[in-house]
Amino acid sequence: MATAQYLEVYAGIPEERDLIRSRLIENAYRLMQSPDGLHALLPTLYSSMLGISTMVRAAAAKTLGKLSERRREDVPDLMYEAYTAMLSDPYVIVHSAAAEALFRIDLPPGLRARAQNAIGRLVDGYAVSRQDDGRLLEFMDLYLRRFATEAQLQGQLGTFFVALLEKLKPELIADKLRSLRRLLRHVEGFADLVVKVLADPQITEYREEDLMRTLNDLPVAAIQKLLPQLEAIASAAQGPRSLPANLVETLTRTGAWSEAVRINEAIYAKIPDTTERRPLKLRVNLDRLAAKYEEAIALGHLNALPALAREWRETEAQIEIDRKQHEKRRRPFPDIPGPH
Amino acid sequence: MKNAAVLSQTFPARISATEALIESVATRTDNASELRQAADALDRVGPLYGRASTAEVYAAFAELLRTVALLIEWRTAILTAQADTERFLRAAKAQYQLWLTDYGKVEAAAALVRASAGIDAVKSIEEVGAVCGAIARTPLPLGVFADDSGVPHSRAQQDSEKQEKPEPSELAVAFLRFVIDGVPAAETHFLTPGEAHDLEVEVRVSRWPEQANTLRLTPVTIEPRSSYDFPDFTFARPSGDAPFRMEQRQRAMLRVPQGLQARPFEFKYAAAFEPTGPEEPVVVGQRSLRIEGIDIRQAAMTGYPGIDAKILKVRDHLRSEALINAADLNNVLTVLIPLASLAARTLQDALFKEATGEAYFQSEVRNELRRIPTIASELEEHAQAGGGITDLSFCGIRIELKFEPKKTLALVDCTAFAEQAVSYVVATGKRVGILCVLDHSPKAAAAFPADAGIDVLIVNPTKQAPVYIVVVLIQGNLARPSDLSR
Repeated sequence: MATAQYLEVYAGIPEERDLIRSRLIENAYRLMQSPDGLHALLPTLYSSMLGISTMVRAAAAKTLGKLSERRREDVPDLMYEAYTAMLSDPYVIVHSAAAEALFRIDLPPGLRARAQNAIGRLVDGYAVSRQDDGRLLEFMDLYLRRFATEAQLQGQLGTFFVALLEKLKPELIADKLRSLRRLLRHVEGFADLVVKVLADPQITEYREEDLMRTLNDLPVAAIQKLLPQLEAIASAAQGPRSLPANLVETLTRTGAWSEAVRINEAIYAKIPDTTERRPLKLRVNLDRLAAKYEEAIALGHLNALPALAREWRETEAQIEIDRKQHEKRRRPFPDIPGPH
Repeated sequence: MKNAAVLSQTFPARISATEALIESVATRTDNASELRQAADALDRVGPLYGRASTAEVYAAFAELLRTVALLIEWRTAILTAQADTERFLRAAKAQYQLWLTDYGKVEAAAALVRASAGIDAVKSIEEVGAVCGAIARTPLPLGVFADDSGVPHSRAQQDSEKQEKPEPSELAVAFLRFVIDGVPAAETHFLTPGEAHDLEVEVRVSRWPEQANTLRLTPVTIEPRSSYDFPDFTFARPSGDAPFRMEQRQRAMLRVPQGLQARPFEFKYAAAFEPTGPEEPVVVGQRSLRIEGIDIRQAAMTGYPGIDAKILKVRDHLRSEALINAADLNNVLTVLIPLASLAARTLQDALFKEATGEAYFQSEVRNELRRIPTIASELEEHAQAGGGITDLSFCGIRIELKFEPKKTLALVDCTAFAEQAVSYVVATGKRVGILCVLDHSPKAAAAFPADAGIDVLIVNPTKQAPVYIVVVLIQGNLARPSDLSR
């Protein structure tokens, strides 16, 4: 019933009212959740893909991408053929919408090469013009996820994509690093790219978690080549304690004990020994001691361990004393829950 | 990754474990229970770590301590003259093998694997201290922040969670076959437009959902409803045990014919149980019907059924190639039809009896093509491409003509002429061209069917960039049939 009404309304809208037509087409997927709905609306969607309005064509691509997986499986190949042609549409609004939908659409085997060529051309075109690096990055991401094989990525293709990424602004690639890491983490130069982004304090302020996950997924050998840069980033960090502490985790995973110790020493030294800052300084001292403990083990200095263990326990005791001593001052309203 | 520091909670367990290990290096130490307590403490704190690999290393370390505890018990049992001491060593080695199965290939635990390699070789109690020392000298990664991922870290935790998830039994509808007018549906099936045809479907259903009364198969297509009449198939709940095999026959009809350039109609059958429930069936098997609605009898292309069928085959082949665009395909077909017709007429009417050479052949072909209204003025002669001069050209589609006066050719022999055609094609930025060859050699045998002289040659100039050459081999200068009887 709703489908019939939809079709009746849509048929009554003049061709030139393409804004409202595109809105209706863009939402058509809501009525296409059953085979019946798909059957009823697919001819309209198909003709929208071939229409003269760029807005309506783009809306049709979006709707195809929004269909549920089961319904997309029910769509005939001819529909996907028309959709694939939109990937080569000269209008930005159309090929961008089609490319975005391709993240979800699994094309029939006969059309994959055609889609791959189209996305490859978009990457080439946008890489040359550099007029819209955001879209370029989207197309690169799409190409890598959908078409690049492992063998290709280990060859020239991977190098080509990393070289392209190097030309883009760090704040732009920060958004995509996490999704690109799965495919490019073994490609030479990708690790440098991650460090380049990580070195930008404005990005780490809001992207730290993503960046750390990306860094931690890199091969150990790649991280080991970047130890000086990572140490410099951690030691110079001015923001919250989490970035250097996260980097210490990463460094200890790769066996960089001395770098981890130096970072913790630097952070510890920066914290003034005031009443206000003492709890933090004591906690950071625990980090420092833990790193020194593992470093001593790594160096085979087992005789240093008892002293470090003793210092650890003394610091724990100092934390407790400090907490009790300043409890009222730091929590004047004890009934209100604290941050931890 | 939640930034709640956990090192103060986790590291004391690490310190205690290391102290216990160092203590156990001395031969007379009996601290198996301390090692086990340390292992338990590590098990408790390990999952707090935010990074899975750090937690996994802690889990591996804890397990290893339990194995070491067995070695210590073995050493103590020997030193205190207990009975059946070897059971401790056997248990330690067996546990170690299990540990290797779990962690032997875990990258994060590689240092522990190396450090513990001596366990397998332990034969005397003097070697136990060395194993303890080696493990004690293995640094572990630091974890600073707590986990909020909910991802299980230890093997035991992962295994128990796997067991808790039951395997869902699949609800599947498998399309086994379509039969049209008693004949299994071909990849592309021909149906005469305007006539009713039998359409039969056979499906297998893995199980029938509780709530469902019927299973409905619906044709999904891009065509407007007015152009076809293909049926829904509705099956009522069957009796008996699953799986169910069901078939049904109905009528199907194409209401309108299609043009040569048009894709075949495509009907893809979707399956849904009614009333709908929480689960949708997985649909497998060949469920697409590609129906060719060209009526070759009513609207022949050349009037030669074999040739027409071959043209459709060439069309389907070129259409399946990603590098050939629709406009080029249409132009190729526009030229191919009269050339293929010429090949057939040459056989029927023994044309090209006295051709004098390539120039003569070219003028004949040019005249032939000019007569076609859709080609006529668009046909160019001697257009330049790739530093050479092409024979004929139609909307950028190069038509290379060849004349063979001596050697009787088969289609495969035309490969020798393909490279020249390819060089013109790629110089024009295309992927497809036409090669038309007149075999004017004296014939000592009967001709082969004209459609056997038409096909697509795929040439790979750079191995990765194929070019498609449609070849039309015309058999001229035919022997008189009566001459072949002598």
